[in-house]
Amino acid sequence: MIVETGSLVAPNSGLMPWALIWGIPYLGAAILAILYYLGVENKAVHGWGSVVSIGLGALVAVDALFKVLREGPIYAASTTTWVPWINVGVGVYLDGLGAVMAVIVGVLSFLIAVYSVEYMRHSWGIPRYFFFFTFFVASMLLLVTADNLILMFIGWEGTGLASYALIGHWYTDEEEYWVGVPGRKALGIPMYFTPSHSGVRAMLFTRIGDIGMMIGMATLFLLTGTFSIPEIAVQASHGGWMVTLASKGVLAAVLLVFTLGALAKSAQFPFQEWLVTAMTGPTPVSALIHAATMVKAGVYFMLRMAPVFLLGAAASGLVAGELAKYFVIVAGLGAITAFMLATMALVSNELKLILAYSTASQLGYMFVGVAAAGAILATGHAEVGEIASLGVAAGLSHLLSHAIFKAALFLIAGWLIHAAHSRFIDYMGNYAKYMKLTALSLWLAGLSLMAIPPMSGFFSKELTLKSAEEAHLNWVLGLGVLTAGLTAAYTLRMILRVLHLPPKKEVHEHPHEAPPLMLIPYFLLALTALVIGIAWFQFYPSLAKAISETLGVEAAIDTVKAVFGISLSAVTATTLGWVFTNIAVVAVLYLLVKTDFDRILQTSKTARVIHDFLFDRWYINSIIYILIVGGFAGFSMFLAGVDHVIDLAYHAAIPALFALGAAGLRALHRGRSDYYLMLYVYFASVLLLFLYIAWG
Amino acid sequence: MIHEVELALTLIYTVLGIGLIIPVIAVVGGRKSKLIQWLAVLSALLTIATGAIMLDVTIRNGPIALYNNTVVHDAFTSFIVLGAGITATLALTAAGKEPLIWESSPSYYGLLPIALFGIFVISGVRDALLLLATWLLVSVLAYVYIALPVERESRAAAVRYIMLGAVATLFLAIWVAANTVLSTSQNLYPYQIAPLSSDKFSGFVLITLLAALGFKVGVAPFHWWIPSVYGRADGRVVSIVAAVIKLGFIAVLTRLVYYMAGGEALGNVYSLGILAGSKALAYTLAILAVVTMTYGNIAALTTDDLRALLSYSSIAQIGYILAAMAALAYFTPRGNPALVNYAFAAVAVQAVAYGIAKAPLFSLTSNVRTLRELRGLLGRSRAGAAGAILLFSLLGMPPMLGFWGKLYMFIAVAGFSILLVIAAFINSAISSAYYVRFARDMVSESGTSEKGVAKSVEAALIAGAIIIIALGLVAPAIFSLIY
Repeated sequence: MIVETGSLVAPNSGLMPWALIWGIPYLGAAILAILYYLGVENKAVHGWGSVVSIGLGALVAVDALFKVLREGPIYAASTTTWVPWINVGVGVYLDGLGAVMAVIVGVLSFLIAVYSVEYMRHSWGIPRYFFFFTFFVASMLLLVTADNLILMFIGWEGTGLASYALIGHWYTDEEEYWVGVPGRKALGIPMYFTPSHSGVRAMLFTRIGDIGMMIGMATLFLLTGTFSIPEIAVQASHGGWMVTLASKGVLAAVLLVFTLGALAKSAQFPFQEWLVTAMTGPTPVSALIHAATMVKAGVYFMLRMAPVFLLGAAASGLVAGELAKYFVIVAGLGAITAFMLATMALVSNELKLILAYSTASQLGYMFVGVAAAGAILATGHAEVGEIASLGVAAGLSHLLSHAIFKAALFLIAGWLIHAAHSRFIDYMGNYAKYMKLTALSLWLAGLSLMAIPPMSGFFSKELTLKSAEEAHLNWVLGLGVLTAGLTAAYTLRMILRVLHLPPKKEVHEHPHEAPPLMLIPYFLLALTALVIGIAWFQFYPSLAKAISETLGVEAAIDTVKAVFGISLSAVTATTLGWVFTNIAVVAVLYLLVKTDFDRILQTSKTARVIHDFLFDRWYINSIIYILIVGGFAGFSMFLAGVDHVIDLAYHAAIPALFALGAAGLRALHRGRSDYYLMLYVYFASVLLLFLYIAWG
Repeated sequence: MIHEVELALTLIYTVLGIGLIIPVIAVVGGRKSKLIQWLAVLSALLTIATGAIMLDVTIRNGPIALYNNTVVHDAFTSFIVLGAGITATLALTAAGKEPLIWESSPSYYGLLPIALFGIFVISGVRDALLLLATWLLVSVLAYVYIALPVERESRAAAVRYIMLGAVATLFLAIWVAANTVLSTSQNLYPYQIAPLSSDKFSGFVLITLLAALGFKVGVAPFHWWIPSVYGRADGRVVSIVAAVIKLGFIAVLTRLVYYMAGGEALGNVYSLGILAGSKALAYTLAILAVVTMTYGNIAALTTDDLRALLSYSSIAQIGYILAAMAALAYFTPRGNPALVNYAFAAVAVQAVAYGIAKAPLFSLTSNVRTLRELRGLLGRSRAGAAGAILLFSLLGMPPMLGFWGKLYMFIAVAGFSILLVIAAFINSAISSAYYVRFARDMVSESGTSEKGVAKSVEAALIAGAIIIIALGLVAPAIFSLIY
């Protein structure tokens, strides 16, 4: 059921204080930059300056969430319009989704900023780090609270720019900052990446999607005459632009182009490569940008726009058919990403890389959650309001729980890498003996990733699978269930090897517990993953309330609450059974049998082929480099060759030709009358012949 | 209004006067006199003032007709004149005092005001004969610029430019004659720009014009000279030819496309011939846009040579501008003023954003030839970040001016052809590869190069970045006032 109550097309609040959510961090970033140029390079000033500005922004976001839950959406706009021509102003739209996202981003960023102060204490480039860190948080907050697509896109690009700068933070490219095994190649293409190279890759992969998003925005504007998200939603609810596109049979295609930015930002197939190599950045950056927030921007886009699209489906059956196709494709891409990246995590021996694979994989689940719900349209078994509720509930729940446990996992990884002085888990082991609280945190966050009840990850993943089940997308559901088992396997393998098994390679370090400034943030986050899980049935009504206030959904609160009801269905039982089977297999192989995988790889060719296929990421990176990069580079060199030939023609061929001609003509003038007579007769004959032919 | 127009004319005549007086001062006070440098800067600033006043007048009162209606300025051309003033200021800032030591310093400083006056006229011209006359004026200036400073490489570049330019001029002369035949056949004033039909003669008229103006702005397949000439001439003079003078030619080509699509048809009643002609024109431009942007972007991908990279990217940028022109041609006679306005805005913003970015960047290449040499040169100063901002604007990132150019282009083109949108999309994606690589080397703090970058170039990069962000914030509001 769709209720028309929540649609806001007119502002109901002034811009202040809500613009402070992103305004304070932007101001903080500007102050940090000015301080740097004034010669202030004190690390504490920059670190704590960043923490304070992000913390203040987060406080305003929390206040906004309470207000939204109490009084409904906030639509705050300035009294003047920035670009009246295209109806774009500076505005803040805080419905349930926007407010929850702002709180997630604000609070997680605050905790990770605190962690960064300690983590980066002995590093270099601190002012630059905290400037981009703060700028990133501000842009991310702008992205999730913007009331129109232009502002959203500005925030979107701001996060991309900051991500590029932070991935390449250690641009001097020492080997310790690389990702991948130095010297390793797949199909002749190097599989190790420096920070500066990774930064460029991230920028390029996401730019492709961003341009698609810009085209989508332009197309929507052309059809609706507005960039305002609430207004686009209202027009969609009347059919309008969606009917226009559906009647031409291009609705699914246009929406897919529009969604390219989201797919690229959230590292979904075929854009996943950038996220993997983005791990060259400092670990807090990986936690914040490449696990908790920026990569969620694509999911946020889906959560924001999917209900809007569904409003169009409610208005027209023609739209519903086309829309279902779009949702099936997006859900399919999500499922493929989830499975593919999980298989890669099974064999990786770099701690951050395992977590990166896992992140892209879990983002795939979120896409499945939102998009598969939309695909229910094709079944005709549910009302649009229910579908939208399920999609937003599944996507947002898993986004929230994943943001928390994955941020914790990355922050823990940061400390473990620091302790081992290596990014490879071969140099880690038995850490449970030396760092009890870190081990406890890793177990809590890991269990949530493994979706073991009662951790929050279990409930949220169940919702995403429920979407696929309701949509009768059996292959998507199958991949989802399969991936759940693989997730449990690679997570347990990681935990066992790092915490409980001896290191594979000799180490001379003496590990100890993390300092409080680093320990407290990840311990709190891991604990939160547990608390949310235990209190799930108390917690979800608030989440349901927020979702019911979300733009375009506006379904009755009871409908949304009903979505959260987790029952022991056949799918749940199968998934849990499969997860525990994987856990048992890993436990037996590592703890009881103590399998020597290295020896197996040395002796079995089949095992080595499979291992290399997964370790080298299904050769997708190599294929991209060979076909796309190599193809364009070859074409480019060809064109450069054409230009070179033209240049040569100017400088060598034409002068040579003229020189030859001049020499030849001069040679004719030998002062011999017989030559002249011969030439005279010859050319007179040619002219006569020409005249004879031409005049016919 | 009359007083304001008179003021604008007084300012631009003063600019012309400055151009004429600089050689005299150079003779009297010596060619190293700083006065000629400052007078050139003054002329650029006066051009900015002229453009701003014209923009204000045209926004409030509509187009300004000058010289017996043979030159008409509207908000579009005013913005271009304003942009030419800004890019000229940036080019002069980047060149700094160094041209004063050239033997040809009076030419470098004296020709710029005359070129700015020429841009003022040519951007608003609506008479074929006057176009030919102004073309000759501005072209000769450009040829001379390329030959400065007097070095073997520059001379070789200038000779090539003149050689091909002569052929282009020949095409323009043929176009003037052919247009006259077309306009008189439609009972128009002989030198009025005639709307095209879809017949062979109209096609001939179009091809001759594109061969001429396409050569000037770098439309494929008339672009061959660009990498070679921009690659051999001095970066500081290329910044004037590529970033300042080119704006005038882009403006006049856009206006001619508008007229040829029936933009001035009496009473806005469009015959079937005009509708068919505008469609043919639009598709011709669209094909050339795709070829031009693809050629430029692909060729720029792998080169390490900075000038070559900037030259090819200039070609690609013209491709995007042509895409907007194609939409302009299509929508002009089809009763869709909003999309016509977006197309005009796209050309204006894209062209000015291009000029502002390219003026300091080309100047940078006067002593930094490759990306390898660039590494570590600017990373520790603010100029590195500023240069990256200029490149991100070319890439179309918000909130820089280039973003609005791309957005308006996509809005206009999305209504015209989805295939053109896809081509522009693919090309934008390809261009990311070399722009991001360039930006990375721009901000890189590590490198082995022992070269240095002149402070004047750094200042121009920073000024350009500030202007491109400021214009990115205010330009959309300006266009809201215009349309």
